[in-house]
Amino acid sequence: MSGYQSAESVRRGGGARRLLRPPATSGAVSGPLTTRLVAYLYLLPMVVLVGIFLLYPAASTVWTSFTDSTGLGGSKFVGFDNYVNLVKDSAFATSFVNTLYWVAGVLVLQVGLGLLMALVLSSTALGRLLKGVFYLPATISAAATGIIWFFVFSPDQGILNSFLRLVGLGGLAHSWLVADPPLNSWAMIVAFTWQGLGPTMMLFLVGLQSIPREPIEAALVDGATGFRLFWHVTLPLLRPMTAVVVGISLINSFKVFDLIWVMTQGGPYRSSETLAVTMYRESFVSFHVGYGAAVAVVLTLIVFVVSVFYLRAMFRRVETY
Amino acid sequence: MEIMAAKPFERRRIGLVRPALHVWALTLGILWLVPLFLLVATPMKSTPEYQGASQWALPRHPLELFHNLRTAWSSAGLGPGFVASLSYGLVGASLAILFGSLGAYAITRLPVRLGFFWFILVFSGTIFPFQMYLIPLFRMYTNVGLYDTWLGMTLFYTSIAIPFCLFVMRGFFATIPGEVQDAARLDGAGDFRVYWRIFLPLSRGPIAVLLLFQFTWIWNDLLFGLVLSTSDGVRPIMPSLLGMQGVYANSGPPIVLGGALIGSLPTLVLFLFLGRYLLRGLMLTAGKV
Amino acid sequence: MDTRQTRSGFLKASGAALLGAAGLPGVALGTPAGRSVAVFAGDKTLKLANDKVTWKSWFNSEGKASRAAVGVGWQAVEYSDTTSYQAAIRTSGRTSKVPDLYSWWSGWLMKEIVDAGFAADVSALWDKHASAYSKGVRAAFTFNGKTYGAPLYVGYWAVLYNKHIFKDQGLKPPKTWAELEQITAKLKGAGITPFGATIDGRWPGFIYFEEFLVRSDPALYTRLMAGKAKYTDPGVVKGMKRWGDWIGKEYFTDPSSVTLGTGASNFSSYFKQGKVAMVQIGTWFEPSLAGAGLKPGVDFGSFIMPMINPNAPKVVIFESGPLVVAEHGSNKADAIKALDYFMSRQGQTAWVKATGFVSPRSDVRSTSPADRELTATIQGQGYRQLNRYWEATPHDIVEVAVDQFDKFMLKTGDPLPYLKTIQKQADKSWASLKG
Repeated sequence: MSGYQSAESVRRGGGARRLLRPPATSGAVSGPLTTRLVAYLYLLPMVVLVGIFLLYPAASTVWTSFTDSTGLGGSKFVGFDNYVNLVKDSAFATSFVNTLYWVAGVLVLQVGLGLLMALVLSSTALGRLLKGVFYLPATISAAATGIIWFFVFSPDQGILNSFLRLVGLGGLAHSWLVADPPLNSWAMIVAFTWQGLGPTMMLFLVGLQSIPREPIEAALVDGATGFRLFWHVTLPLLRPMTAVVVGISLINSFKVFDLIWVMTQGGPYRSSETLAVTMYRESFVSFHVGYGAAVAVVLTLIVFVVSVFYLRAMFRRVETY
Repeated sequence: MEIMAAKPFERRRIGLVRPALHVWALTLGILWLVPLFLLVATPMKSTPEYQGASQWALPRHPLELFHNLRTAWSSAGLGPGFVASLSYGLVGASLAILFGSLGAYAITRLPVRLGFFWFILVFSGTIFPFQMYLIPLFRMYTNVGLYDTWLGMTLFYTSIAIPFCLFVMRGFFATIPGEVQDAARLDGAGDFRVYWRIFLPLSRGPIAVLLLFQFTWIWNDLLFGLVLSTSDGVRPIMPSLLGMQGVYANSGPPIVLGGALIGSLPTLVLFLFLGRYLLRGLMLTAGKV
Repeated sequence: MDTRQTRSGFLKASGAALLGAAGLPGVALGTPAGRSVAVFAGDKTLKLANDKVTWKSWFNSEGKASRAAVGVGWQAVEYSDTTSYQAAIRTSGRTSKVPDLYSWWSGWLMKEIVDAGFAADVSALWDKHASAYSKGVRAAFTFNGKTYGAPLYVGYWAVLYNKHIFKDQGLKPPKTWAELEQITAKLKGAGITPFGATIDGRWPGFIYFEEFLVRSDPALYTRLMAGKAKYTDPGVVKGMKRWGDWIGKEYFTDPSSVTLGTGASNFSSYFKQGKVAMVQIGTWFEPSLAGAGLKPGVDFGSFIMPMINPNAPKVVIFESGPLVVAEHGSNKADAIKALDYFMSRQGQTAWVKATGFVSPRSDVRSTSPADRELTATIQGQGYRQLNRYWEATPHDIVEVAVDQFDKFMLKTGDPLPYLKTIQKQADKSWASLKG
């Protein structure tokens, strides 16, 4: 909705302004200058708050990333030292790779499974009930999700291991969150999928409903069924919504913090950290504040670059339709 | 828009895969409920009962729930955290909607220069990963005495909720016909009166969606609570829950999960009662990207 | 968005929510910022933060005793996890929101908070109680001529063993390394895990690294701690290999499922059930075992791990941690008053009675027979005391090292890559400390 309505609102806003100005000022005691200044008072609270609590900190982090700040007292400018150290740091490398796992995992599991479930649910009578079931986890917090899954994966009594032992697959029982990284990252990606599948699936369902019937019916007449129908007809028609869902999931997967901090704190031996966790650990646990700021900037750059590429690809595709 | 009632368009399709798919969907649905079972059933067990049997076992004395919930509530600051988060969520979301809608009103209806610039300026507050805000916020808070205060937390939560509120309200105000406003003007209403008496009441729908979403976001926040607060009564519920997990993870899982249940109840209840508006909110989030 | 629908249907929900919002701020603003800081008629209760969950009742009983004696007491605010705890103190340290009193670590970790100006100078209290405390203890908490904090605990590191298992298997505490190896082999053969080990909480990773090193070459350990030897030194590698050998023989518990330490711990139940026979740990762990129903001297005893190299001087690992008064705390004067009580004979007597710890005060006797015996052995046989790894070397190195040790416990294999990673950090840290 954003693209269309933004343009419209600008137009309307302009129109309203032309209509309004004469009656607004002619009869009033105050002059036009005062009226115009008063109009800015409406903007003031939001601009001041966002400026102080969001924009200034964001800019300040960029500056901090070029210093050797430890958060305690003075700091000096060190140029790109922090960034150079990042490249050499094996913990950062692990964190970077883990972040890629998360991106891949979320794209495959959350988006892929979300689409699949939307397709299945849109054609079953159970759909209505199951929609609620799949959505339910999305209403609880990532922290609570982390706690629940911490117990699901617990090695001794965990519900997963006891199930495996019950069905005779005890050999597969694991200390899921500790042993054999990157298995712990994947375990957490599963927990994340449990929580995030609902919204993804709902968006796909909305997308499916807004698909025009004619092309589908035409394809059915041509004898297309099953997977062929889906691949050649449904999926292309679903592309605008897919683009949106992929975009949201992609950006969210870069930012996961809560779930990991609750479940493993990035451990053991920093094996399950992502960039968001590394930033927190360096800044607020080790107090390598300058270094932590550099991690934050790198994370931001990655998110920006991905977003730009993604938006460009999306618009190019939309144009071809 | 009401998707639950819409007729599935694929119903005509005939295939052998369909029964298999239904079984698969049902299985997955049951799997999805297992962790929720854990969340609800575990707090109904005593700690020895939990340790003595499989997690799959049904609770033998479900009334143990109240004991565990009480222990959770009174330990690790969960009770005060609950109250604090409730206030942050309600006050923060309300103020953000107020300030965001005032801004949206100015940008769409008042003689403000560079309206689009102000919109983009404020909206750009949401494009950064949260990690970009943490260090300077922490430094600023400790320097000016906002660290670990109710005011400091509320100011931050309000600020971070504003951009999305502005985005939604600006979009909505743009759909209100100019004639509505002109008529009020002819009756002699001033700008603020038009905003307060006409625009806001017309926006009940989007305001409800925003309240639902922003309250939930603030309620669920862990990161900023972790960095900007420390004492009971200021610290929000999620960091308190994290602290509790560490204390009881080995000695009392039923208590920890009881805490998680307490922390999940408000948003679960919101979903059960306002679930219909969720989809609308989801679509707004989708529009944001 | 469909405006018709939105205008009609939302009235009730948003109205109720807004009403709620409007009614709430007054209530919420009235919430006190710190629950545990309550003022009773003339009495004051301060906050004492710590990461020692299992000590909570001891802290609180001592706090109550303090309030009864001097009008200022405290209530424990416990953090379950050492990493989060350190972060919490470091983040609040320069604000008035810092807890009035908090437990900390000696050595490099203490230097860090002293340099940052987080700790209050309590030299005057040490002068007052000078006759009862040894100069050595005071020196551990003195930086640039000023003394900060009072000793919360002083403890040795020893092996705690299950006496019943030893009796059943016909074993005696070992005098030599060879005897210890026989014991471990025998226990393993009987299906009992010889030693408890964990990576839970990250820090316990260093425990066995430290032991295997100091038992074979204490001088190398001392040089390593001071940055005068490298982690890649053949002596260090040899110690790690010996440790890896034991891990390979499954002489240790699964470090990912056993928890052990000052936080929540499940080790005691394994120990009590006779599944694990021994654990190398600080004597402060004894009360945790006692809390699980095991009697010191009856159900479990202690011995100092024998030297691998019989020609090296006998050593024992020593640990001490301060109770610090926050420099910027809002009740600094009262906190100093409470610390004065804690250092006094009356205060130490009550503390030792509650905890069973050894008191650093020369005029307060330990209540635990096991501890008295240990202290006698250490003093009688001329053991040299070495500072624990966690405190003995710069903390930036420790943080990297414990992660590497944790990794080694899970994966073992060639120790060199782990040690190289630690040395890389050591090079960096020592360079920045000297430069």
